[in-house]
Amino acid sequence: MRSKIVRALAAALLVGTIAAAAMAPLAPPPIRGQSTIVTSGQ
Amino acid sequence: MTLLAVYLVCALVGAVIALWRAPAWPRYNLLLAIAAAPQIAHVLGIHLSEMFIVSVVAMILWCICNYRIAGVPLVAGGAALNMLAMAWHGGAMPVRADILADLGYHFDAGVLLEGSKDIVVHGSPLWLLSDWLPVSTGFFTLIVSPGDLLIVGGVLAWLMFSHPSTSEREHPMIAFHSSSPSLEKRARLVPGRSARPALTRLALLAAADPALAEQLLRDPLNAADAHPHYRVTLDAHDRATLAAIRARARTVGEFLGELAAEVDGA
Repeated sequence: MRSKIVRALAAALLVGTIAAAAMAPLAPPPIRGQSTIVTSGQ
Repeated sequence: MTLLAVYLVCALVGAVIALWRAPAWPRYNLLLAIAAAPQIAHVLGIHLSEMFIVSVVAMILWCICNYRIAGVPLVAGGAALNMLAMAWHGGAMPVRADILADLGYHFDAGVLLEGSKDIVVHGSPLWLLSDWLPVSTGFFTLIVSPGDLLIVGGVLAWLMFSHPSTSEREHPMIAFHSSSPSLEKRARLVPGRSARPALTRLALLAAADPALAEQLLRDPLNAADAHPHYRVTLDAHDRATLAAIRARARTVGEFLGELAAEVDGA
């Protein structure tokens, strides 16, 4: 059981890292007003 | 930090599946961490275009090191699509303003969106690779790219279909099955000089001369006595052993293997 928990933690870390490294979804917050997600311009 | 929550959900799903079955473990995962660090920094508002190159190189190396694992080629394909679109826009993922407008968000082109890797564009030659696929759940809306979908598919394929290597397996029956008879014999070797010096000499001669090995298989007693250069004196015990090996062995390889086992005292 202990090895399964370690395995699950390792998998979680790996999946999270893959997602952070390679995935780029946009998750806009719920709309409350026009100032919700704009921060800076280029 | 909705995006970090998305990453956390992905990690939790991975943990649940890994509890159910053991996947193959990729190697050189430090490369993944190196690839992820600049991306997380981007989400947190630290924009360094040069660091994007570090991400790309580290991700490519990790994929090359692990391309044999099921799902990794899909992850590599998805990452390549995403990073191609991001490279075109200076390290930020493009999202079209009209798609955001359809969801109720109105931004000018060039705006970097907080808590994401995205930059708003009016259009892009690579818009097909950008975030343009809305995925709505009961709790939040995600706009994902085709590359994201490939990566999710690749990670699921890795978790559900990859097989751990033999050394990674924990099941005792599988571990027992993986040990060959020769390994078991080797484990019983007695260190020191062999108790069968004549057979040792014969085994060395046969190993050095395939013709002698074939003669031994056909007629072991006469072949042992008739070597043109090296005389091997066999006692009754040695002769009985050779006769027994001859009765069991069908090939030269089997004969030599049995002879070596007798020499080693296995």
